[in-house]
Amino acid sequence: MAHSSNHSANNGSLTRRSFLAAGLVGLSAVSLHPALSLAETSTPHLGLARGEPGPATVAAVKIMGGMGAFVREGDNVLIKPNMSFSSGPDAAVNTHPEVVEALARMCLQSGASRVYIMDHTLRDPAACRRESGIGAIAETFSGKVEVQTPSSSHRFQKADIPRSKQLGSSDFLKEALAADVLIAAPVAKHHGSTGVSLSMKGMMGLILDRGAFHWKYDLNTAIVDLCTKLRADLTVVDATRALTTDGPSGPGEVARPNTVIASRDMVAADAKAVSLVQWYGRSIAPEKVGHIRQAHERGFGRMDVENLSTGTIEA
Amino acid sequence: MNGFQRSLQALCLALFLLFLILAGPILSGSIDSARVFALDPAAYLGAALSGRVLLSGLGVLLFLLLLTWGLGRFFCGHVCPLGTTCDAVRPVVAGKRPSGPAGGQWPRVKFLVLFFIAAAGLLGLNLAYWGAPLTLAGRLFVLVLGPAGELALSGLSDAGLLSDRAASALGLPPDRYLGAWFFLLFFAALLSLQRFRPRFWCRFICPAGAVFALTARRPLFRRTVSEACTDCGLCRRRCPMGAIGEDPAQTRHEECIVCQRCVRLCPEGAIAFRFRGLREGPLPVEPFLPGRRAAVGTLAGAAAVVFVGRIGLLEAWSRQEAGQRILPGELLRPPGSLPEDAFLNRCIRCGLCQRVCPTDMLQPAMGHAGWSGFQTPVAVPRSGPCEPGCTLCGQVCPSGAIRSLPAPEKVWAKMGTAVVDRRKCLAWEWGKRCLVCDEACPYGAVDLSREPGMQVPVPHVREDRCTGCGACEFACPVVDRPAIAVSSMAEIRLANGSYREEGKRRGLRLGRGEDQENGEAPRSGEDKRTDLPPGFL
Repeated sequence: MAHSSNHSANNGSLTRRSFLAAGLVGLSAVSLHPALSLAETSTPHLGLARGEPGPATVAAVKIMGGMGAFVREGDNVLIKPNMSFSSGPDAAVNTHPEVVEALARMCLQSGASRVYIMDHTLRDPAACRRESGIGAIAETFSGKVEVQTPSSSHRFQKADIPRSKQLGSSDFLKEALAADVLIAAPVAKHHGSTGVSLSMKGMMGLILDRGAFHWKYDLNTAIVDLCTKLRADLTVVDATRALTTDGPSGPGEVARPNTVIASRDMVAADAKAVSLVQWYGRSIAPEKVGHIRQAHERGFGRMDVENLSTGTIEA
Repeated sequence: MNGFQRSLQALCLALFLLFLILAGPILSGSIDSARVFALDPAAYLGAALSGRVLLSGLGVLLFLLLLTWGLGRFFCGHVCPLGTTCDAVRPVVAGKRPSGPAGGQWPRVKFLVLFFIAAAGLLGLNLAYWGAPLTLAGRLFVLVLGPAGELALSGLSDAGLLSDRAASALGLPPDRYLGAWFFLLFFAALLSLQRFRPRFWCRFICPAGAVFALTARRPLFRRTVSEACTDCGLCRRRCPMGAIGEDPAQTRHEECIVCQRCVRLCPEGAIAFRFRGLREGPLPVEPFLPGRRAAVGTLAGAAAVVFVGRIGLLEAWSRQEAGQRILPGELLRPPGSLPEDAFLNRCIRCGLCQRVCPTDMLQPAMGHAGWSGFQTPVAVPRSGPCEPGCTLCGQVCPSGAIRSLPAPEKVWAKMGTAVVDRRKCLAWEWGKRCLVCDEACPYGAVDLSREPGMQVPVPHVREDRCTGCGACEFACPVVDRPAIAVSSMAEIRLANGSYREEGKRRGLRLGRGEDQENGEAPRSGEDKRTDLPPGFL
């Protein structure tokens, strides 16, 4: 295998040295083998890149074979960031705009005909687009990228969820049902009900009625149900900053792991983010997150990150 | 047709509508709404007398009165959006019915309305909103026609004919307001009265028209009739204001709105509007003011209304705090509202704050604020929360009833305090894993913590962090009465001075982000049962 991999067995915590070493190898591997992306099977299960939000995002996706492995000519792509709150990047409740912008740029470079960046926000949609900094991304690209925060019911369409245990059906954003490629791009943050809010929990931003998740169903089970329908082709967790307490809305303590995690496996990406960050000042195993454990048990993905091949790079 | 008058009316109405439509984020701060509503002397008078203050915009009002002294009631005939609406609706409600005679004593009623408003104002009660035409137009367009137009547009949007961006720029989803039925009936009646006379409101009732009439008893620019007049009476029969006397050469200038229809109608070309000296031409003969008896009766009536109000009509009065009305605990005011009595006097009920509120939290009070608070803005969290960064209601308030505060200061203008009703709460009572209130709170004022004997983390309100914005109440998934709701408890209402200092004095910690000068970030109570932070299993 041309690509560097380290099977990190030390509970997911990466020392500076291992990062540097892996990064050097990874960097050379990427630069020496531009055709890497063709070999899907040769890419590791998880890709970690340390650095500034934009470059780290590009590097992490490159480990997973580059955006060309996910997006084909003419595809409609839906990127689902966290932009549910009217706060700036420092609050770590929304995905960093540079992460989202890098993803959109790579999608266009891979031939996407249209990139939708969408979230059904909790706060005032216009304020969320503005304050998060994500709304301004659309202006960077000439018309091919749209940032939308729809909330009116006609933008949603009812669809069944065949593999669900409780949820049965839900009203999905039409663009989410129609997208050729779905990219989950959450920020790493704590969540008072579900432990963390990462790629899986974030899919609740693509449906209309979230109240039922809280009062009708078991929240963690319903999240896994939802993800069986909205299974991201690529998950990119923005852990450049992480809200480690008082999520999902903050304000809380913000750590700066300066890391972007990429994977084809939503569960693995989320589990990796859980083990990477100190929550309320301490390490917490991924199995302590209800929906991650359930997803693992249902065979939807893998939370045993210590057993998964991991490529790391210093961007 | 009078091209000039109609064009100017259309232009002024369009500007007024544009002002209302764009008053929100687009115009915020760049147009001083106080100057717009100072064009309405009745609104100004009501708020200034009852509030015992000189409102800003006085210069505009005095300038307008000076113009009226020179040009007559041109404002009524060309600028007033309510007058223009009357003209536009008249063919619908009256068809081609003739204008009819002047109306005897009726034109004097508007002076009684003005006296009534002024007297009530002097006695400390602002009732001007029942008659002030600009504020009426504001409510007509903001509370009735605005939502109707937006509803029609949302049809287009639902059919996919509008882009998302266009839809949000046009104010979709549509605003909805409390008591729209009342305003619909009120304005339907106001406009339908034109079946009896054109501009029924302007001629007989409008207190602003009365102020202008007092100023335009003998304007410099006025109607003159030459010797060519054959006394045919056509002008008198068609005058929309009944401003022409039995002798067509006589003009009741205080009624004339300078539309100059008579000039165009006159078959002999005998009528012209000219600048004349104050003493030139025939002097007005007819008395135009109501008699002393009617005036005294009106003043007594105003005193009686204020008196009845003071002894309590719809609200009880506190024995503990003498002179304080007992209002429902859920009565919330916009952030930065003056203390309640001053607020009621100052508010001119123009509807602008309700228009610009991005979440529709602000609604016109019907019975919610007592009878003297009728149509004042109330904050209804179930309709929408108060956005932390938004300061529009204070920015646009023309009378200063809601103070204009910068966003970091607004956060300290505490509207009330959230209270959890454990008997309805999904977490407390039903053992459901719900944290919606915590998630919704922009201020970290709702904490989830594990409690002995509870299966799931349960919410607590940290009162010192709660600004009463209602985000929790808005988001609470419990149907009908929410399980967390804001009451006006511990609200801060200041006539002047800093909310932040007052809040700090009371030990509040209301800031956000860099404003949060409390050292440590808030931390939800940790798990007392499993020793894990909230959310983990």
